[in-house]
Amino acid sequence: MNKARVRQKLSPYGYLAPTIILMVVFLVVPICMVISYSFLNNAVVVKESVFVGLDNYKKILADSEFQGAIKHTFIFVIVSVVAHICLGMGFALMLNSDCFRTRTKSIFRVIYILPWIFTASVIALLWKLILQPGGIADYLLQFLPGVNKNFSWLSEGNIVLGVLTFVNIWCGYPFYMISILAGLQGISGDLYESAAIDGATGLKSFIYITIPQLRSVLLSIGLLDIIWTIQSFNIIWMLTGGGPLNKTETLSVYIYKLAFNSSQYGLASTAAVFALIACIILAIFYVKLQRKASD
Amino acid sequence: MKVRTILKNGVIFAVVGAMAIPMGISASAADDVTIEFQQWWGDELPDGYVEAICDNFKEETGITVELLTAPWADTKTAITSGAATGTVADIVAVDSAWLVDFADQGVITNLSDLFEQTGFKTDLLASTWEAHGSTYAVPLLNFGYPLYCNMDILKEAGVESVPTTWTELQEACKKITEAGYEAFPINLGTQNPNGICNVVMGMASASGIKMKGEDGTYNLTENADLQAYLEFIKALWDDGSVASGATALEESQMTSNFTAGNYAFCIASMSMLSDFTDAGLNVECAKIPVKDGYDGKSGMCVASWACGISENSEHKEEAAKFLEYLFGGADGTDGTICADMAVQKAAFPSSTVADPDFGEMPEQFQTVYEIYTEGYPENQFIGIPQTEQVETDMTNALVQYLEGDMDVTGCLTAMQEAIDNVQ
Repeated sequence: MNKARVRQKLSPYGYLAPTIILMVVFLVVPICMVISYSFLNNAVVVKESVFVGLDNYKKILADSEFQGAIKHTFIFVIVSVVAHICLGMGFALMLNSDCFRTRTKSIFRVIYILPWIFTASVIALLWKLILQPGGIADYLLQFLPGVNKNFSWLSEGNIVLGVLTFVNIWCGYPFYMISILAGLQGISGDLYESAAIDGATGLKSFIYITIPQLRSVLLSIGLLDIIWTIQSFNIIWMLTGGGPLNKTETLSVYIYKLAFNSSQYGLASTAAVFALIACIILAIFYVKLQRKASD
Repeated sequence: MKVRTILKNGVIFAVVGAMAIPMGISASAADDVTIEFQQWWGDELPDGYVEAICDNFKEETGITVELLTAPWADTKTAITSGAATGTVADIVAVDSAWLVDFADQGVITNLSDLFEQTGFKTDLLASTWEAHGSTYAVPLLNFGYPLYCNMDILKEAGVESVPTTWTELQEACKKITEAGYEAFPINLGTQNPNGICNVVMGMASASGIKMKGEDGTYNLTENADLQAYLEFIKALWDDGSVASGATALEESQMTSNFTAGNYAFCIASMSMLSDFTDAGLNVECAKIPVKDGYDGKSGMCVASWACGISENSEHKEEAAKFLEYLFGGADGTDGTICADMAVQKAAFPSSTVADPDFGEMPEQFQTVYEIYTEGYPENQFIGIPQTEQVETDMTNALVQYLEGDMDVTGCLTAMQEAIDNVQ
């Protein structure tokens, strides 16, 4: 009888065991290793690393390049996320409106989602060709002041971060569009009808009906996007390598350079711990939000 | 026979037999040594090429060489992780940028000591890579970096001959830019910061300008020749002769643009010649222009395929034997392996007994080989720790100088600091 009870209690864990084992091996163990490396000197590269306490943390916080990376990451993330929300909302509203035929909307849905289909390396290669001196961007935008036929969008220190942010916005907005579109299609039409009867304009309907109804969707995807954008590496590395003059060096690029250019795995792990802390805080907000939504 | 006697004899035989078995095993193990060779060469040579070399080596010596092939970009990570876990291969292919770090981390062994112990024929080696005064890696092939010239652009711009001095280069570049073409690219992107080594210091080497002083120390701030050279680069920049987008330009993009006919000149690896000619470019190779009045020997920047032996290897002697085989064959006088590999990769052999038959190579290659043999191979960043970080810092200093945010003294000081920070 007891055996049967124990078996019954343990059987759910048996089903969960493969997933738990994989998560422990590929997630928990590497994270713990990285955190441990952050307290060591010359981690990985020597067999017997020395424990240095919080020295690595002090070095990283005092490093002006780290501070620059934090600043660039902050600008990159905030601008990207806000633009993603605005663009995603705009396209979703267009695709949800009754002004276009179903067939037209289907065609444009496919076109608008295209940036999301490409991998980061294809996107980087594509934009590198577009933005290179004498490329398509120069040809089309020659009318702008300061732009000539050999303008280099990725070499101008004052604008290069903005250019990278634009590329990131371009490849990230489809996710918002699809998520918001799904949310829009879940809003009851009766609400809009009632509002129309009460004399509400389109803008007022949007502000007082659409936004509140989409609030949980927007917050969820916003938080996820912040986490993903903090970790964004491929496009930045492949387009500019963090340059010129470290002007596009974000936290992920900074960590990569410390680890693989300088072989400073201890310091790189320390910087990675800061990124981990930021992502954990955001993840806690996300989980709380999800719980609130399900309640 | 009594039972006791039988048992006593049985125990004696069992003990003797137990002692003999390990001797038998070790005897056969000595004949059955397997060494591992971590490299990227297999990816860049025809299928089965490196395997054939290893098979022939096994026939000659009985030593098996197991190849661990990975792309160049992954090899450093594979070696570093292998070193951390004690599983690094016996022989590792090494890039010049990794040399000092691997030596300091104890990944590769001191070859000076090993070669002495094993009687390695060091006269086979045209050059060696040293860190802290000892040899840690030996280059097998050198890939030269000459000046490529798009003769069609030169002709259209009215440049009658390939420039041979700085003044001639500056004049030629002016004509080329006036004709509406991009003249001289320098890849100053920091994703793979090798432009400062291959192009910038490569051009300095052609005029005998070195970062290291005669005493072996780096003293950039009091290096008048280097200062004059940087001022020349700045003059090209101010003239608009340096191709647009230099600060974000990577080597691969630079060579792609040259292949597409966008640049008049390009300092790039000899291995790119076939790409340029296959694209139908009317291209000539030439010696990099030298400082006006310089008549000494010209250095040529080289990238190399080199090997080191792992510190953790349990078969260092066998590994050294394989290296000797690559340079001098089974008897130490046969350089055909190195020579043939050089022909395959359009590279220059670094074995003193290799005599490659470049007869069927293109004329441009013959020209560069002549320049190479009349001068000397040089990579000014070999021996600097954390080479990629130093290259990045030096590139940033040069960019600030070229963009006018720093004067030449500040630039040299920043470059010196980049080296001092890692020494």
